[in-house]
Amino acid sequence: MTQAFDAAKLGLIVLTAAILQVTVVSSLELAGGAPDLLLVTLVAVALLRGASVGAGAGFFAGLLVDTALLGTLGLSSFLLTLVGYWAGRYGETSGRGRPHAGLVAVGAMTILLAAGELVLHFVLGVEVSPGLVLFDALLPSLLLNLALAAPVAALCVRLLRRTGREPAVREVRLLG
Amino acid sequence: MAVTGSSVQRAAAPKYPSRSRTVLQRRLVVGFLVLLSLLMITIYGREAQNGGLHSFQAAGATVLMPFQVAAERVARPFRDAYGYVTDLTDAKSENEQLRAQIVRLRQQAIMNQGAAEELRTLERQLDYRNAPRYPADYRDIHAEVIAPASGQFGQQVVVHAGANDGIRRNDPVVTADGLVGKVAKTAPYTSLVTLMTDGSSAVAAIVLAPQQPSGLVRAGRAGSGALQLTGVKKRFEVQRGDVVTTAGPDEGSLYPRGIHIGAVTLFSQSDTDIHKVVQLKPAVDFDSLHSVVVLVPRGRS
Repeated sequence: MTQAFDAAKLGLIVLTAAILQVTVVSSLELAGGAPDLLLVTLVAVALLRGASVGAGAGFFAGLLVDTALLGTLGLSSFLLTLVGYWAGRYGETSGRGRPHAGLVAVGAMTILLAAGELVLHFVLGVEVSPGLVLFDALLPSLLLNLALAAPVAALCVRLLRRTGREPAVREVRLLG
Repeated sequence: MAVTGSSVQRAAAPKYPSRSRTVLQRRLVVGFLVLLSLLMITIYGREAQNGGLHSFQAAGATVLMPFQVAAERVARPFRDAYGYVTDLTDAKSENEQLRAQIVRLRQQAIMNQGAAEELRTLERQLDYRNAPRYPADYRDIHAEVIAPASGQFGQQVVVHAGANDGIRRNDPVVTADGLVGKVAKTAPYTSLVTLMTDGSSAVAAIVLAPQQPSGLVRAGRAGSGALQLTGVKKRFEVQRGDVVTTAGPDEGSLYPRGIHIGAVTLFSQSDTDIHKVVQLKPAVDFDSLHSVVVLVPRGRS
C-alpha cells in the first residue's frame, strides 16, 4: 500500500514536471538557453530513490514528453532512462552523503543530455546545429538548471518523505 | 506518566529500494527500459501514420491535452506581463514607424483594390481556372499554441486543434502576419506544427518585385530566427524591403499563393555561384506565437 502510494506520488511529480516543462518552462529562454525542470526533477527523484526508480521515472517522463509534443516515441524515454539511472547510481555510490551531490548530478546530466540529444538527432537524420546546442544554449541552460536544483530538490525531499521512516517515537504512547 | 502497555511490534526499517535489489536486477531494469525505448524509436520511425504506436501516442496526447491547456492558461498572464514589460522599451520608436507605415499602406491598399478588381474582370472574360486561393478557398481553424517551440532540437509547436477539426498533415498554418509553417502530425485534438524556422522546412516563394523572381525559402542559420531565400538567379533584381510570399501550387508548393513570408533584409552574390543569397526577416514573430490559424481547404469533407 505504502509502495503504491509512493509510486503514485512519484508519477504525479513527474507528470507535473513534464507538463510544466513542455507548456511553460521550455519557452522561458534566457540568453539563448532554457531551464529543464523535468531533468532537474528527475535527477532529484533518482538521487532520493536510487538507480532503478530513477530509470523507471526517466522512461515515464520521456514517454510523457514524446506524447505531449507528438515527437518520435521512445527518443526522450531512451535518454531520460539513462539520465535517471546514472543520477541514481551516482547517488548510491560516490555521491552519497556529499553536500553538493545534487548540483554535481544536475550539472553533469545537463551536459550529457545535451550531448546525447545531439548524437541521437544526428543518428535519426534530424538537422541540428552542434554550435547552437553545445555552445550557445548549453551554458545558460546549465546555469538555469543549477539555479533550479536546490528548490526542486527541497520540494522533492518534502513530497517524497517516507512515512515509514518517521522516528520510532510512535512506538511508545504517552498517556495522561 | 508513560505507559508502554503490551509489546508493540517494531516496524521493520524500510530498505533503500535499489540497495535491496541485486546488481543483476538493477541492470535488467535499465536494460529492459533502454531496449524498449530503442524498439519504440525503430517501430515509430518505420510504421505508417495510423500504426499502433502513432495511435497510442494520439490517445496519450488526447489524455494529456487538458493538462497542457490548463498549464498554458495559468502561465499566460505571467508570460504576457513579462512580454509587456520587455516590449514597452521599444514601443515609442515602433509607434512612429507604424504610423508612417499606415499612411504608406493605405495608399497601397487603394491601388491594390483597383488592380484586384481589374484582375477579376479579366479572369472572368478569359474564363481563367485558378488553383485554390488564399484566403477565399480555405476554412480558418483558430488554434491555441499549447506547447511552444523549445528551440535547440527542431522548431515545432503543438496546437490545440487536430484531426477531429478536419486538420490533415501538410495543411498550411498562418497568423494574421503571415506564414507560420505546416502541420507535421495530427492527433484527434492536437497537431504538431513545423515552423518555417525549422531546418526541415522549405517553401516555394516569389519576391514581389517587377520580375517576380522565385526561389525556395528555408530556415537561416540555426538560432538566428532569420530565413533564407535560395535559388534566385543572379539576373533578377532584388531590393532590401521587397516582400516575399508563397508561390502557390503552380510552383509545386503545398501552400496557397500569396501568403506573406517575410521581407528581404540582405542579399549578396558571388562570382562562383549562379544564385543570389537572400536573407529574409520573417513576417511572423516565432518567439511569441500564442495562437495560429490552420488553413483547411473548403472542399475537404
